[in-house]
Amino acid sequence: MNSSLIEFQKGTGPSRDDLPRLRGYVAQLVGEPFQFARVSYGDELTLHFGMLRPARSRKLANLLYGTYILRLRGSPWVLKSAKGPLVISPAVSGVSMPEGGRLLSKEELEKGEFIERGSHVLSATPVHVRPVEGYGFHLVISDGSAIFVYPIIQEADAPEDEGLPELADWELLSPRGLLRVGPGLQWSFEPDEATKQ
Amino acid sequence: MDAIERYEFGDYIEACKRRGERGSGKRGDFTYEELKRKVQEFRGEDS
Repeated sequence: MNSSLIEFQKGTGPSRDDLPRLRGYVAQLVGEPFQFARVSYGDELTLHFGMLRPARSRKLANLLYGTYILRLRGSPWVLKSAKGPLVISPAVSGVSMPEGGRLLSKEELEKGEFIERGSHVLSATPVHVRPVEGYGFHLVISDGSAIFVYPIIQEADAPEDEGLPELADWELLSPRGLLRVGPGLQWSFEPDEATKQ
Repeated sequence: MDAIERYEFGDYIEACKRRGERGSGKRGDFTYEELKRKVQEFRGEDS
């Protein structure tokens, strides 16, 4: 049996409809420890993994970042916490509040520790979601938690959004570079400057 | 703006909103012009 070697020095993309290669780029997240969740501007959930580093900007003196950041952009997601609760993003449509459910503030989402800090990524799998022709993302954590990210259903731009760059469905920023996935079945990888050949 | 700066800028803007700052866009979002000024503020280029 042959093992696979993945080099990250060269960029790629935009690649289209190439799930096997995308799996290779995403595999770098496997084994990294979960650190924390943070909600960024636009209500974008970011999940931080790996070692912690301080912010580069002096304006964010007390903020820490994981060396691996999974950014879910505006995509819908569902988090199954090993502690029991299910956390569903506002972007998931067609879900009405069941008995026992309640709205969760950004601060509660960040402080809830729905994934146990220090638990490790067991699998990171992009998924071709055929009804919307985009790539979802399934993440399984060693504490028993899991998260599924759906690709965004593409709609025509509002007049004020015309001409703006396309938003990815989700991104993975790592020491090796930036992986952008979506919209649709396209993805690209831009190596970090220090990694480039 | 590279990816790290873009990510950190998103957190900076979110922190501004949580402190009560509001833009003039929908739901208090910052408009494109307001965000351009915020970039200068974030980089310390506004003084």
